[in-house]
Order: sequence, then structure tokens, then C-alpha cells
Amino acid sequence: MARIEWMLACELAYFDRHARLCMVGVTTQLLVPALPLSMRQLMMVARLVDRIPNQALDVGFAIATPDGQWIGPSNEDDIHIEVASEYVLITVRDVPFRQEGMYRFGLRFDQTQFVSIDIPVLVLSVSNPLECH
Amino acid sequence: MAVVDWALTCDFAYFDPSGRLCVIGADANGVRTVTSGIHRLTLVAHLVEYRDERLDPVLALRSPDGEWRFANEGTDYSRERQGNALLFHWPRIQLSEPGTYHFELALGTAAATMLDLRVAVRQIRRQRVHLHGAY
Repeated sequence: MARIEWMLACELAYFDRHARLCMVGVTTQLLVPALPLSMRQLMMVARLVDRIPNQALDVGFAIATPDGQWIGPSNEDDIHIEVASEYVLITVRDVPFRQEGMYRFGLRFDQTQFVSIDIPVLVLSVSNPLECH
Repeated sequence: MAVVDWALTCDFAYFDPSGRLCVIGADANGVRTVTSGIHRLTLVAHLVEYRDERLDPVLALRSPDGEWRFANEGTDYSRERQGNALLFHWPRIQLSEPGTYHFELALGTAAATMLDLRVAVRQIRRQRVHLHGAY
């Protein structure tokens, strides 16, 4: 039975012309200038192992806010899930961040498995703007 | 003590100016397939339970005929780390025997974390080109 070996978040992930995975900007925390904001794009990459080729997969994705609310995409253009070989690529767009804290990105897989990663969203405050002479 | 929870081989990996990992050309099915010769590759290891302790990685390579060779930092590979990602850059690695090479990585001496990364080598099949021309 297929299972998820690992999952991570990045700015961009894609397959090159040799069907090999490329990931740009793997992130473990999100530093934002101010809140609330909507992040244009965030991608999740999960690696599957022991997958039977051409096996249909049931994949679900949701985000938990720091106050424990689960949110999903507001329309179907805000999420795209691609399964290729042993990788699952999830693109989420216009992710709403309204408060600082730990956001949980959860991937449900075949109704039985749930894998999540926690990413803190922090406001990067500029306390003393530099003066230029 | 740091433990490697997963690793992969790729064409190249680096940290961008903000320290975020970028991976180019990670292999499908976890097995890198190359032609016989000298290659450049990067091994990416993801650590858990890492608390800024000193890492003493031991990297070894087993050839298809079972011969072990320990890799030396500086001459065979260089390494860099940011956060939980540890990169081993192999600028010139000779993979000449057809078959499967195995990388093994151990961290520290107390409780070694072993992992197996396979590189499958195939011989170059020279293409025959037949030229037909009329003058």
C-alpha cells in the first residue's frame, strides 16, 4: 500500500523534461511584511513510496489556522493537485494568512493516511528604517 | 542526536540567499540512472532531531561488485548545511561499472543513521549512424 514518505513546502516545484523533480525555495517558515495578506502561490511536495503504478489515488488537502480552523480553497482555481510517478505536487494560490502563528498544512491520502507539516507565519517587522544620505 | 529521515540524489542543490533549499533534477523512483563515466551529483539529506550538534558524517560508496570505498571530505565531496538540510556535493564522481552503486551515510559515531541511495549505471550504447548520400 502506498504511503507518504515525506512532505515539504516550497515556492515552486516542477518536473523537468526528464521527468525529474525540481524544487525552488523549500521553506520551513514564512516571514511576511504585514498581516493580513494573501500569498500568491505556495506548493507542497509529497513523496509516495510503495505505490502501485497507475493506481488511482484519493488525495485531499487543507490548511489549519493557528486558532484551529481548517480552511480549504475558496474556488477550484485556487488548488491544483498533480500526481506523477511517486510525487504529489499541490499548488495552492491566494492562501489567506490573517494572523501570526503556526499553520498546519495537511495532506489526506486514501482516507487512511494523514500527513502534515507545521509552518510558522511571522511578521518581519522593520523597527528602524534606515536613513540614506 | 541528528537522524537522517530521508535523502535523495539530484543534479544539483543549493541554498538561495535567504537560506532556502533548492533542488534541481531529483531522480524518479529514488534511483538515479546514469551512463558509465564521471558525474556531478548532490546528495540531499533531511535531518530530524538536529540540535546544532557537531555532525561527523561518514559517507561510503559500494560499487556493483561489492567493493566499499570511504569518501573523503574535501577531496571527494564538500558539504554545507542550513537548518535541517544537509548537502553533499560530489563534483567528480566516477561511476564506471555497470550495475548499482550504493551510497551509505552515517552521522556520528554513537548511533549511526544508515541510508541507502542507489545509482544505476548503464553502459553507453553508441548509436550507429548510416549516411546515405547521392552525389
